[in-house]
Amino acid sequence: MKNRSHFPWFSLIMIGAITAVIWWSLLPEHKREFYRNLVRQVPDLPGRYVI
Amino acid sequence: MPDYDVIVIGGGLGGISSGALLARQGRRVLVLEQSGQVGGCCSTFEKDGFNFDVGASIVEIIQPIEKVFKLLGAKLQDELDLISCDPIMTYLFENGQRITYPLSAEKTGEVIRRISPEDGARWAEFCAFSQDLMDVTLDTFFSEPASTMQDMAALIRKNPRFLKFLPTFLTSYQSVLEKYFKNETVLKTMAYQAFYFGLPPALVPGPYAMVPYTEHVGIYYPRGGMIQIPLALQRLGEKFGMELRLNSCVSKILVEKKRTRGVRLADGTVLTCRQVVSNINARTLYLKLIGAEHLPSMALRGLRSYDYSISVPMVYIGLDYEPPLDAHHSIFAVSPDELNRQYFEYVRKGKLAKKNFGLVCWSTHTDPSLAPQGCHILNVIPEGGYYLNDTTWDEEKPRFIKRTIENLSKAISGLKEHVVAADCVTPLDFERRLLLPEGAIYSFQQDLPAQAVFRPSARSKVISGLYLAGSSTHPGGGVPTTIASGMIASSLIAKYES
Repeated sequence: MKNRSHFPWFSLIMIGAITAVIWWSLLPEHKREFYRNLVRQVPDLPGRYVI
Repeated sequence: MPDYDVIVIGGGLGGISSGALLARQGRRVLVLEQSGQVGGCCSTFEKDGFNFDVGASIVEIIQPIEKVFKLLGAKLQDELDLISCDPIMTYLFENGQRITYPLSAEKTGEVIRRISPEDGARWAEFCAFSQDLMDVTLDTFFSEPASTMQDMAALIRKNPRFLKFLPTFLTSYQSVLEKYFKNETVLKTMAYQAFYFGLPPALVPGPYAMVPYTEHVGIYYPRGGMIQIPLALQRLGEKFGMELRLNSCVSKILVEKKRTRGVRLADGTVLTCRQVVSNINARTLYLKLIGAEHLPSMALRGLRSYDYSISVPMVYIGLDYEPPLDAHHSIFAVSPDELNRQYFEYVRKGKLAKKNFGLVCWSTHTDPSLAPQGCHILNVIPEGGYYLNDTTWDEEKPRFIKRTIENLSKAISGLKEHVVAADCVTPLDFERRLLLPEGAIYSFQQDLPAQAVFRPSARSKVISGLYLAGSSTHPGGGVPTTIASGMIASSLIAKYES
């Protein structure tokens, strides 16, 4: 029973991850560069907000 | 009683505009400029009878500038002779083809239609989108503080249509362009303008893609050179009692109990004041002039995290003939992807591009008085980073000038034989002469994570009485935006420091 209740969540996460990988691989290089640059700086944002 | 109400550090456009506006408010203002003239990157110098512009080569989106002059009780048109540039741009293609866009957006649509009927049809849609975006952002984002979430909420309250454009900030300049245009030649005529913000088309936030349209609203050149803009602001400021000291370098900002008390000059002189407006790079301001001991660790981390903006080597060429060009500006037409490649593969890796790549400004096309009779000026901006592999800019400079002239000669016939004066300001020179760290002309990168609330606040969040103007703070680098930053700083002082 326990395993069955976890099953949909696992599927959803897997579907989400696969969708993300496919989405990323289909993006043109310039869009990947834009998002890479954005994600790289996310940890810096709290510090930038307080200055 | 302190010596001054406000001391402004740096006589660049942001500093001189905030100083003038604060003087207009009736405050006792002193502007301290480390060099021998105002304007910073927006200035002009004379060599061998030629008047070369240091950096900025035109002014567009003049509404914020008009607003500042109006606040100073003057009319922009009365203070400056702004010459409209028409045609606005010639695009030089590698195969020798040339395309020139006139000032009129309608006529430019006809030129685009001849290249690609589909893109020609979409040009009108692009113009409508850009005009709407320009109307909304000029009224909000580019003229109001955007340092806190409350500021952002206030922008939306002021003009709820701003919300409509927020998703555009999550896309790039290139994505917006490619949404409207498919033809490679057409895209090549709109890609380079991304570098007006110091980044390639892949990294500039989407709203700035309106620039290929806003150029058609008007591009102007002040008669007498770009320095006329800061000089006009200086004149107006001095009319209201603003004091300007040239060749005065600030070595320290005096801070007591987290509040500014004055400044110490390099010669040891101490000047006291209530508020300080900084128009210098924010990292230099906080780490060098204020000191890390006054800053919380989180703020220090944020401050150190910024990437410096791009720098540029500027090549100034004096000619004894009229170059066969058509417009004030010419651009070597390159596709958005090629521009990205040039940036990531060359500029970021310390290599210099072998081919022509950049902007050529023919200032004497618009104002012949800048050069001796019959002579002309070309200011060339080939991209190049601060760091170079295996060489230094001091070593490279003579070779760089020579190579730039050789490369230009391939696109502009007869040029090489008619050069009578040539000079270059390298990123290293920008660092030494204008005290721009790493020669960063826009202070910090102007990508999305360094915009608005994530750019150093115009009203310091860590030191009371400290305000920022210039390219380090919102709305960033560029002629109209730095002037707008001066207006924002002065309005914040009026609001919080009565």
